[in-house]
Amino acid sequence: MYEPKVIGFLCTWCSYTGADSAGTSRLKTPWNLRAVRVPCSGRVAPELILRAFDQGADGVLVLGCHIGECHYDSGNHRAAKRIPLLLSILEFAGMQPERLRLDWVSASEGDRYARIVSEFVDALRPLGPNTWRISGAAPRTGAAIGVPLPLVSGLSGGAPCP
Amino acid sequence: MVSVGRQKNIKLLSYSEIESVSGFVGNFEVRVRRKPRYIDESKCTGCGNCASVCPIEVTNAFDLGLSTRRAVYRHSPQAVPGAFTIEKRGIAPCRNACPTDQRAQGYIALVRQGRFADAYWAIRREHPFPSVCGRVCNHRCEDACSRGSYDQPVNIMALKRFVADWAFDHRDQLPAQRAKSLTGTPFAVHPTASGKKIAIIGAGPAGLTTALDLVRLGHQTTVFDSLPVAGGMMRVGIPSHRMPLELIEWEIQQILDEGVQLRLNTWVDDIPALLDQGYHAVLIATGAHQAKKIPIRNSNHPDNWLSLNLLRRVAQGEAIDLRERSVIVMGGGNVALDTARTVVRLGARQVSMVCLEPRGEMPGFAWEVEVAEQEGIRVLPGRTFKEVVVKGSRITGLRCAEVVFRGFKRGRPDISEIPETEHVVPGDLVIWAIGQGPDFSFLPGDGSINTCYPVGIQTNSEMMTTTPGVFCAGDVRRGQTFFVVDAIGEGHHAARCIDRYLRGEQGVPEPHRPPVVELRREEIEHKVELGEAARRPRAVIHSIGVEARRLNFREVDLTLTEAEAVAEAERCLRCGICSECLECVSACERGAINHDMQAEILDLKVGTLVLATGFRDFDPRVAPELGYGRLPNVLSAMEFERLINTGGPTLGKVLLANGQPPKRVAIVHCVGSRDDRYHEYCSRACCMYSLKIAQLAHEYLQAEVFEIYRDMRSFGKGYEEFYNRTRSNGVHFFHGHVREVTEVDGHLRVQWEESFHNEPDQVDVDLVILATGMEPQGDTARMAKLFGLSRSRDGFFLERHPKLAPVETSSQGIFLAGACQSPKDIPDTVAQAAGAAAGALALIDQHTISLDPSIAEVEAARCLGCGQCAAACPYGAIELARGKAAVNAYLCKGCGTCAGACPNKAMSLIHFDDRELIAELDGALAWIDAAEEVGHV
Repeated sequence: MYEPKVIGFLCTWCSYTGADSAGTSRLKTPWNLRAVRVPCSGRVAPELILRAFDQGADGVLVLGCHIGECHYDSGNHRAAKRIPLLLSILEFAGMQPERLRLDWVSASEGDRYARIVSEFVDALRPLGPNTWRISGAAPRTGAAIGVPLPLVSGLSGGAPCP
Repeated sequence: MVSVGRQKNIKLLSYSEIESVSGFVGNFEVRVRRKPRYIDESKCTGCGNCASVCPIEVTNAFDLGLSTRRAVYRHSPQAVPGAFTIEKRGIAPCRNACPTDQRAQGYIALVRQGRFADAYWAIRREHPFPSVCGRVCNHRCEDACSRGSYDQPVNIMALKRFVADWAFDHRDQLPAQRAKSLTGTPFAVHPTASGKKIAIIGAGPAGLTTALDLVRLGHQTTVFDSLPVAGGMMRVGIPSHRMPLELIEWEIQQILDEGVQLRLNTWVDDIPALLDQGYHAVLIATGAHQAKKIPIRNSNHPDNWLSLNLLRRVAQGEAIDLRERSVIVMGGGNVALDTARTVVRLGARQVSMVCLEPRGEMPGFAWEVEVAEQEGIRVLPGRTFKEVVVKGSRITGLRCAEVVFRGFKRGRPDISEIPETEHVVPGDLVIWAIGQGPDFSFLPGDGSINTCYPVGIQTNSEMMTTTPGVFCAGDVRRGQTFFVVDAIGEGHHAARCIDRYLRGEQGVPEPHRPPVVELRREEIEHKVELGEAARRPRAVIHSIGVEARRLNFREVDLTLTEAEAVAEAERCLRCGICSECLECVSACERGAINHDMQAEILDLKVGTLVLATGFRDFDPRVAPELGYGRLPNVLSAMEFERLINTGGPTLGKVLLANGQPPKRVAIVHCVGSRDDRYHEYCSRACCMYSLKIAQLAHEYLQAEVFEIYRDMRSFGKGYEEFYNRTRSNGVHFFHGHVREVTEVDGHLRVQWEESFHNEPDQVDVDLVILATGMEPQGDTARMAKLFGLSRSRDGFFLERHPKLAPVETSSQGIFLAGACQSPKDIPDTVAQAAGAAAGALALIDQHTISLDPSIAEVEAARCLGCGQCAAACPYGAIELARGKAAVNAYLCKGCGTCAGACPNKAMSLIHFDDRELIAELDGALAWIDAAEEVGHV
């Protein structure tokens, strides 16, 4: 069975702490997810998600605080508007919608964190590797660490406006 | 609290609300709205004299509704500050609707208590002619009455009449409370004699009201009237079957007793001469005493009478015999009705009323049209008058035609005749009652006092005519007939205007009008349910029989009996809570009460804020299976605490609904807490207070006590010892989750689940106490928004970190203390409060603040100034300046939502910028690839 590579954008206050609490509770969590800590789910710009897919991620999971519990009052409201919009565009552009998911995990919900990640990875496995790229290029393998990479500036992929 | 109140560095703003918070740590601007207490905190000694005279009883929230308190109250016996407060929502709709500003709610509340003399003087504060307006008013108060939207309005007019009649009947022993009736009015504070003389032309309601007000304000007034009697239209226009003469004469006499001079039989036609004679001001209040006619054929025949002339002659005692006459009254207003009913009493063989308006649109009161018909008057509405038919020298009838009436356009009727409907209404005497206007023949011929359209005297907003010093009020100003209340209202206004004219700046200002109370239907239903207003239909006015009315002027409608009046007064919803009877004003020896107090806005500049807004008790009605509110003898813990308190509503006695002391008491734990259906969290304090209650019930009530607990959480210092002591004292403990409380054979049966000690799973008791948990205050969401705070899932305010920063919030400089952050008991609250205070002081003491390094920054070269970042920022930390975004580093909390929103990547978050995040995620993916290569997968 194919083992998908998953990038998780975890907000530092709720879901990152929730992941911690899953660990301290010794809950089994799939190893497929690599966490990128962000201050808030509102920080997750669409370009970052596209970048992840472009760099070979098979799935992206964005986790924030529950609605109404955002550490920054309403940053997660932004995520709640932004991610579904991005998902609908990606789906239109031919990506399988199962590969991007937004959900909420509070700091104390280690069990919920473990469950969401397991579900997400389980759903990705039958899909196989992600062949979808912004540039349409073939999946890249074996990138070196620390090589400076050009920023993805948007769906166009072109140079940023002045 | 007392030491807080006495600490001179603590400014205690009680009875206040936060309106807005802006700024940031070290520079907060807080707008506080101090609600009007209506009592000067600095003067009030807390003696409670005001409460002893207040007629309004409301449920006492401090005693959880177990007792009542007055509308003027002290929150609790130990309240700091100890000043009383008047609970007033605003002015009642009845007062708002009345041109005289009559505080109807006030005298109704006094009637309800049987304090009729107090009620009379409360009425006279705004109204010198209660007996008149108790009879002939169009009572806009009743139209505005909140109760009207529920069933029927309170019969306010009947209550006023009752009070006026009661006062007249008891006039010999009526307590002299005139002085009291001045308190709370401008007259009480303006007693200095001015030495100014005012001439008032016309002794009607407007003139006499102005005269009385001006005398009370320290001026000398002389009232002139051309008639031999005072009272104007009240005296000579309202027939005695509606308004007995002796009452109006008594009321006028009271005005004269206050020092108003009256000169009757005096026709004034030289106003400039009055000013020359030493009068400093003149008021024209001559009313509208000229009945109108329209020029139809034969309208000059001597048997065309004018309604007002007839009414005036009758009122002055002339015996007019209309027996053997058949009378046609023209007009459909109240004067026409008065005329027709007077004519009936003068013996007319037949009386017909003809008017333009169709039935239902007649300007007269609908009820009076009905009464007129009962008295034998033929009402013929919807007709226009074509000619008075004369045969020989006698009138034989009135030729009419039926019309379609579409109202009035620019003062003229908009009608069209229905063809072939001409007919003659038979009669030999025609009385015109189609309206009346003022007589201007006394005005100076040089036009120095200008008249204006349609027919009034021109005045400015200060009631002054075109001649300085000459004022005008009442019907003559408006040019047409209004009601007595309107005249009185204008009279009051004219008195204030004249006073201001004579005193300049020092005169009495126009009164301030607070907002009007609007009750929602649920509120009305709630008041009726609580018994604050009686659930009975509106009082019916009884009348003497039709036969008893023949050939006499006995008053037709009877007044309410004392019992009926009290019962009707009980229907009042007391919309404003405080009824503004102003009894408290005269009761207060310190002069601390000010019913016109207004809310005060304070703008405070502060460096740090501490929120200590507390919690709300869980309402056990939400859990119906426990029987609270449904079964007797099921109490919440707070209620029990109030009852067992020696300063509480029962002075420490706890009795069952049947009056017996409880012998067996069950205490149910975790009500509303630790329950998926209500709140998942543990409220922490309940186990220990339940133990305290158990000990109280055990020791003071000598009752057998059963604690049904889920888990005993005696976590604090000494708590376990307390639990053990309670246990060893003989209190029974059962482990279980209470399923329901039911009533069985007059006992309460408490049943529970999960007993694991093979103990009984039910117990029969006669008192159940519910250990209710804590929940967030009802307005926590609003407060969180106001202060820019987050809330945790349970609804309480969210601390910055549960372990490392438990008193701080995500907004720097705002601290949390107590149960607004999470349920906690007193020791924990005190500890947290001390922590919050220390945190606040530490910040202030530093004089500098250190900010989190991770904040947003703008790369100006890339910024397009689209403003999406500013729209996304939850803290308003981004502003657009000169087409570029600029971040306020003090306000930025570093969430990065702006960086996520920026379409051109101009906005980035220090330590979380795109380069760093991309490097991180590329690295993460590369690591997976590396793992694949070495064969880990």
